Amino acid sequence: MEITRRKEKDVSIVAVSGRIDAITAPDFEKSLDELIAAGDRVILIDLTALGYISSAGLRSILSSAKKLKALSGEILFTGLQGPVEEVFQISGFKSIFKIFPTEAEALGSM
Amino acid sequence: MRMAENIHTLCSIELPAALDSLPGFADRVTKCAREAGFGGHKLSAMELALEEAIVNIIKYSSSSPDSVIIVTCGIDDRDAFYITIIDSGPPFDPLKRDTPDTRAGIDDRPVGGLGIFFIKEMTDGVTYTREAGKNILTIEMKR
Repeated sequence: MEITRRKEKDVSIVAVSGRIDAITAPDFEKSLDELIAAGDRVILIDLTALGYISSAGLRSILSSAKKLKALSGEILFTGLQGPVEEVFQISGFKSIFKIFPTEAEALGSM
Repeated sequence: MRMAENIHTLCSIELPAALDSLPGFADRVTKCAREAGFGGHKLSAMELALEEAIVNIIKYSSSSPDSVIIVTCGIDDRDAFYITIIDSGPPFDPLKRDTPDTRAGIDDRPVGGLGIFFIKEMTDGVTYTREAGKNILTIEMKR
């Protein structure tokens, strides 16, 4: 798993590639927690290059989303595809999170 | 789902019941499934089901540090693929867990509880049996 973070206006963009499984999920969550601790309130997660996610990854996402929501922030997604999209679909994450086809559309919705 | 005696074994791997073993199990099972002619969507679904099953054992079995998990892959006479996951921990039937409410919002949703649900949703069948002091979970994937 590789995480690339950058900032666009008030939005933190987190591009994650590779795999988020039971081994890498704690690092992913730590990365999101660091952003929240640093004061970021809107995090856009780009899943374009993510090949695999398991329930451990969804657990990390939901945990961070709950923390952010309590701070009036939110997590958005873009780049949903393949097996990752299927996991989002089956788990219901596709309907509880805002998901955008492109990064530009996500940023434009702000 | 049919009984285990019809399954012809293709490969078997035994590793410590620890998270570090996950890539080893995944590599062996996906290699075996690929050789049996599975790919794409079915292969990803199997990999996910395998991880969820193994993580579940490690999390809930409270077994001793030197305990192992045995994963066996096989095929039956209808060409369905089976992944059998065996551990010697205390009796634990993961299929008895409640189905999560996938429509609940961020605030109402408990963190976790999706693993077993994924196994059920993404494969063609899953059974649990307890035999000779072992938990035996069998996942079926049709062609």
